[in-house]
Amino acid sequence: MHLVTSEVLDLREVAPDHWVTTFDAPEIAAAARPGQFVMVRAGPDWDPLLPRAFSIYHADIEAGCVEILYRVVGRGTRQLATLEPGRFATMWGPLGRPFDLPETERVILVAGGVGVPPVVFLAERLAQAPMRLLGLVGASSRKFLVGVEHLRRAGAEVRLATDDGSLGHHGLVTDLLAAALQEPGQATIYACGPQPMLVKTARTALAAGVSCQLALEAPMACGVGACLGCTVPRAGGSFARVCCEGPVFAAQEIDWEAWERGSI
Amino acid sequence: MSIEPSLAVTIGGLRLKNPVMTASGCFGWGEEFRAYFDLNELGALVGKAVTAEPRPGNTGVRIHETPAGMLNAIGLQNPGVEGFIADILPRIRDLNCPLIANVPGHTVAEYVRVARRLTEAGGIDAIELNLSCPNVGRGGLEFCVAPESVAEVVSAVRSATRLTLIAKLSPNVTDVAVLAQAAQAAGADAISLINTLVGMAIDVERRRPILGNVTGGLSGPAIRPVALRMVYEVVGAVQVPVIGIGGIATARDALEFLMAGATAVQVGTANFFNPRACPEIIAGLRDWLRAHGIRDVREIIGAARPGATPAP
Ligand SMILES: Cc1cc2nc3c(=O)[nH]c(=O)nc-3n(C[C@H](O)[C@H](O)[C@H](O)COP(=O)(O)OP(=O)(O)OC[C@H]3O[C@@H](n4cnc5c(N)ncnc54)[C@H](O)[C@@H]3O)c2cc1C
Ligand SMILES: Cc1cc2nc3c(=O)[nH]c(=O)nc-3n(C[C@H](O)[C@H](O)[C@H](O)COP(=O)(O)O)c2cc1C
Ligand code: FES
Repeated sequence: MHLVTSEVLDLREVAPDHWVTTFDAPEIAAAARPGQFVMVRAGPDWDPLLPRAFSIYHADIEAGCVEILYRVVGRGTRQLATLEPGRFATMWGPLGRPFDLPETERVILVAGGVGVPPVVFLAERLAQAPMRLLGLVGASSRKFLVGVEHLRRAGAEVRLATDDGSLGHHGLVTDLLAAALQEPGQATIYACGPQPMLVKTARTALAAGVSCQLALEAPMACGVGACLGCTVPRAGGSFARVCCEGPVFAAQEIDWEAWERGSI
Repeated sequence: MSIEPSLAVTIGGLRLKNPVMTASGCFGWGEEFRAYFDLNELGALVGKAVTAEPRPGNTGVRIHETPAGMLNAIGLQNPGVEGFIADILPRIRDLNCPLIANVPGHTVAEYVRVARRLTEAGGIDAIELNLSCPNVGRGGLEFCVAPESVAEVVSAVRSATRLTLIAKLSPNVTDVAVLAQAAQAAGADAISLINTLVGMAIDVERRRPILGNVTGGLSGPAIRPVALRMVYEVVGAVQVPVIGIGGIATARDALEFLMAGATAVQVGTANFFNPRACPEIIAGLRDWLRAHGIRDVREIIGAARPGATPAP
């Protein structure tokens, strides 16, 4: 875990309201594993007060940099998207439990919207591995499909879904998952995206008896396990902290129904 | 040549190497912060609330950011006093700084039971009574709102433990000084304040409260002026040491509380937005004292109170 003042090396808009920021953070890049995240404060002021959590999108060990991909949804992300190269942010990480690497011959990566970063990072780390990668990426419309080129470059076959039918399957990315599970070869599923997508993915995987790991999101204050603000209900009772027992959980670890009830 | 200023203060039977402690519920039991600094630097470590029975905590959204602050409704999630003694205490008892347990309760008997078990277990140096809890015996009114119930809890726990006893007061009351006096009279060694201010937030699109619990406690820099005023009032009303809490994020904030008369401070929410907040505040206090030629932090305690020696 490293707490650093990090220089912004690059800032680019990759889709409307979707930005990628590259930070100079060699210690974090060296330690990062797919599924982990960083906490970022874009300014020294007290409004916004709390750091924001972002999955690690790329970690380039040689260049010593870390990239995040995010959608501007509020003040914190808006502030971050104004940090031009040469400016600084405070960042700590890598945080949380990463994905366990697969042992199956097929790997299915499911990403919805800005859930794509951890899945891209995983695909890149698996690019040299012998398994077959299948990327299923969904967004509301074609202009919001991000990270797809990175998946292809990592050797993944990519199938797309859009809510408005502007590209790929007209419907949900989870429809593509159901179809992909019919194909031969034992698979492991990795997923990140909005809550309804995760719940559907987990249920599909559990019903099919396929091993599945999901990266969850929850409102966070500290990101390190101290505030107990980020809890999700565990299967069988009690709560797990998304920031340190997660953000990656196996499908059978979470009480999906209670989670849906608690935050919708 | 400048001399290294002394930061040491005393609270009841506790000798602190500096006046900076963590605030309950904002630092776990420290383990989450070991990666960011040496916990032995702390004046004292105040851990999470320990209740008689394990508590799962609240469902739904538990935290929400507000301007320069945050609301929380965690619901006292903790493994209970036996779980704490068995699983957590062995991992932290070797720390070279006093450990303070925060104890809430729904009945006087519950406070006493937890305090007694913590005393027997050893390794805990002080008990901070969280009096912002609904009193089941009095129709759910919080202990901290009536001087009689504050006195009842404090004196019952006083007879059950020899540990330093700190009464933590809530700001959600009419006259905090009267409550502080009641705690002192009942045997508290120190008063700490403030706990969070009750607040809420509404999601206007969904037309409903954001927090699963509807209301929550407001903390962070937003509450600092209110906290400072209350500390100033309580210092004027009691003789025991006062521990200032509320929105402290920098050495300058801590100095405000010390000058208002607090003997020590606790840092809560700041740990969330800066994991190194405590060591930075300690270093900043030392730098400030050195820059002002002050050899002992105790010289500035109460420095902004009427009758104190004016600044040179
Ligand atoms: C472990 C983790 C990893 C994350 N990774 C990414 C990522 O890679 N890319 C990315 O774009 N976002 C990611 N997020 C979500 C990101 O943290 C939030 O979008 C961000 O905190 C919003 O901050 P804000 O100040 O812009 O919005 P706020 O002003 O805080 O909120 C504005 C709006 O955003 C909504 N919002 C708040 N928190 C979240 C959340 N966690 N998820 C979705 N909506 C939220 C609020 O409901 C509100 O309507 C991640 C969150 C977690 C917990
Ligand atoms: C997430 C969170 C949990 C808290 N839990 C407790 C608790 O268990 N017991 C307690 O006495 N105070 C608790 N508090 C209150 C703090 O200890 C402190 O009194 C308050 O937050 C004001 O200080 P601050 O502004 O520095 O955070 C909690 C505060 C927060 C933000
Ligand atoms: S964000 Fe604070 S415990 Fe997870």
